Amino acid sequence: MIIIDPDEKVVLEVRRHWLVLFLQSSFLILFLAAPLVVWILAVNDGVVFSPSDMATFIFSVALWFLTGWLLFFVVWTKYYLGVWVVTDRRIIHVEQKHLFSREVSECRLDKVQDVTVEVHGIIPTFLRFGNIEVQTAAETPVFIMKSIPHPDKVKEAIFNQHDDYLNIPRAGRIN
Amino acid sequence: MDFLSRDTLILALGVALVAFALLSWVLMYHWKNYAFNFEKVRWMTRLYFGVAIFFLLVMLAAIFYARS
Repeated sequence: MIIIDPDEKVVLEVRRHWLVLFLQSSFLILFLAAPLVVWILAVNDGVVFSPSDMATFIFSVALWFLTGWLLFFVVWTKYYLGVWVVTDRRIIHVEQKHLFSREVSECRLDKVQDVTVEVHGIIPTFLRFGNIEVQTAAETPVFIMKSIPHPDKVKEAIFNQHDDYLNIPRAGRIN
Repeated sequence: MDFLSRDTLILALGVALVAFALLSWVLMYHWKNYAFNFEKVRWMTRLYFGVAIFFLLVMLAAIFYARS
């Protein structure tokens, strides 16, 4: 369980960029459009539905959408519960793997050694998202969070908290 | 929907409803223990269960419509 101490301050809570969620769930758009395509093809072919056929169709479509909703929910859960939390004492990384499977790593700010920001490609450059790697002296040597929005700001926040935690005067950095 | 009797379909929907309720409860319990900032994710299980119930009710309405 993740417990934030009463006097601990949460500075940042970061999730992956919305484009990741969109791309992961884009197959569902095709999935959900299938009944509409069937309906249009049937109407174009001049098929006349009896009330019983219509009920069967509605029943099947509802079942189809329910399946699509369940698939979307799994994707959404993995997106929404995978989070980086930066507090004034530590970094918490929660990686949601499946509905009931997750990995939680923590690193105290005094163990942070280096922070690397990677932005690869045209779309990440324009939409301002990328990867952050935090090198640590802790048991987990590298913390990696992929596709997070505004990685430079996150890096800056980590450095600022690190400096405050160790009482180091803030210095100018390369952005 | 002549391939199954109305009672069988209604029973299947009832079982599905109970299964969704159980899954939502288990998810809620699991996230209460492990999710960061649980209060913010509580609405997710409500949404999950709410939409699932909506589709189950549509299916139930289709069954009654077919047999009316």
